[in-house]
Amino acid sequence: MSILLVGLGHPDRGDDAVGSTVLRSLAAEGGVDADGPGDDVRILVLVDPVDLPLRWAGAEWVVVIDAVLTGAAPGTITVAELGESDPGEQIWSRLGLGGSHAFGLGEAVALSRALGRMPQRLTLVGVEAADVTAGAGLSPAVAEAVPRAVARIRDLVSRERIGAGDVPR
Amino acid sequence: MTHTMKDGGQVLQVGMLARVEGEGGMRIAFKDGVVESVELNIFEPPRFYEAFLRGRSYTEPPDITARICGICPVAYQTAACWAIEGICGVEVPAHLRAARRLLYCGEWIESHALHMFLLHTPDFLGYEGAIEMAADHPEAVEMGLRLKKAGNEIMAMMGGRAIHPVNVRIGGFYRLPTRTELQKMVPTLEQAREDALAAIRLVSTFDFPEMTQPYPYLALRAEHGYAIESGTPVVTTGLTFPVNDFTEHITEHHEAHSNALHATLDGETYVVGPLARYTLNFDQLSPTCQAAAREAGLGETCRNPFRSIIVRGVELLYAVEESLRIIGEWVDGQVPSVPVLPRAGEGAGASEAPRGTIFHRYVLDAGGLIEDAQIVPPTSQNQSSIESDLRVAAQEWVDLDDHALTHRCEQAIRNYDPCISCATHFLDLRVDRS
Repeated sequence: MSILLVGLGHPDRGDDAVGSTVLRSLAAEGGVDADGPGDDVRILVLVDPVDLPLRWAGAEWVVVIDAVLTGAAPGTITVAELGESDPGEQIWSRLGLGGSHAFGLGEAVALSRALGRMPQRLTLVGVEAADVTAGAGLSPAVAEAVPRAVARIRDLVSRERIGAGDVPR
Repeated sequence: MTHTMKDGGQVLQVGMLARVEGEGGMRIAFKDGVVESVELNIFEPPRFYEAFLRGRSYTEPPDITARICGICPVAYQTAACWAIEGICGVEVPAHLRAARRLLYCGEWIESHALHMFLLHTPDFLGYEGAIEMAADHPEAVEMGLRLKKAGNEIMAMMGGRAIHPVNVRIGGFYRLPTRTELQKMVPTLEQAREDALAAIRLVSTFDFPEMTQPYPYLALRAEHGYAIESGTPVVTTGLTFPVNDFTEHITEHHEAHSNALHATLDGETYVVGPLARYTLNFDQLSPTCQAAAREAGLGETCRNPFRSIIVRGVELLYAVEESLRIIGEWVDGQVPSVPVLPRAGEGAGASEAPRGTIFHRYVLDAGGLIEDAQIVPPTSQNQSSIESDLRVAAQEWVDLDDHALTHRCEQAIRNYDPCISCATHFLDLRVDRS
């Protein structure tokens, strides 16, 4: 299976950097292949969500790691599968709006659907943000969540590989 | 939209403009079928950048001002560099000017592609937005996405990342890419050249409302090539002046209905942007671009703002060609920057943002601290002409139904690709002690 891990968000905008931080941390630990060889796994750190429809086309499974604002405690990790009637859908529409012209992940999904460029499966690993001030680093709660998010991604990928069924919602 | 009878008049109001950068609205009041007042309301809050810059080091404006805009950060960085290098008596060598031009081409490509295909084309094809348009015209949207991605790649290569580049410094760059790294972008750019030609052909088939702008056009003009990263201001009236003298001609004032300053040129409404650049610099375009423009039905000048989408296409093609040329001539092993030592003085810089000329002015003390800063972005300069176009459009098409008239007026605003976030950085604090 071809898997694309996307760390979305601006690296210099407080907790918005969590996507790229998690993927860098994962890569520093040897990537998901540390758990076993096999699939074609690509890692992509992306600032501009407008590029997503072209970037993720062709991948069978895309996992997007991004900062989210759902009202949960900062550092809380939410995993959502994009499905036709999934409650996660509500989250998508409010994500990644740091992109220009209010083009975020929700718009990237809508545009990809219209263009027939959606990956077969799309999973969000959202980390609840506390502060997205430009120039600030990760807040303590989100920095603490980084290793947990890395572990969660490893878990998602290994479950997929051993055919352990659906991703925990 | 609301369209209500009020005091015998009618008000056409759009609370929040779609498909523009930033937060703004418009209000047009009619009385007895005649346009009475027109306002482009920019209510995005002031952002105080000019005040932030005071007391900071002369080395900081490229990083601070880049944050004004996610679409055109390079325009800010470049104008700031010219201004401060000018004060400090430094002229960067030719290879660094070329590197700046290449980075800037990336910004033109991504910005023009975004505006043309995701924001402006839906107006002409009759869709609410790009997502709705994508189902029926996937090839146009895909072409726009490919072009935008090509621009983003240049930005990331030269600027360190696609949005808010971090590789620009006073005196040049922190690091220059190698020829091998740049060559990797060539296939993408060759595809982009094909896409740009196809884009010009596509947008030239749209129906364009008739409108002729009577205002003076202002753009930079370069010694060689079409002005992008630098040049001298020239105006269609024949006026020209050194960048350092811009405050003698361009003055800003505050209007109550807008959080952006309005600029005038010698007291008059004027226009900056693609139409001005094209009209003043057609002879500087490459033969391919000139031919593509003619094939698309453009003459050597263009004063119909609705046709600005074709001009953006021509500029997009030019920026792709320039990128390929600069990469082809790239030589490894040259210094990424030259030293710039602080010096007391005042100076200005200008460059051609995708949406028009931008001016920066700084005053430095002997230690290099910024004593004063002024930034005049394109959307402030165009605000008055946008309102004038709206007045003409509202009057000309007053017989259209509400929905059609509102759409036509919104389109008249989007013709400018206004960047409202850019325009709202002014500081105008007034204390009434009476």
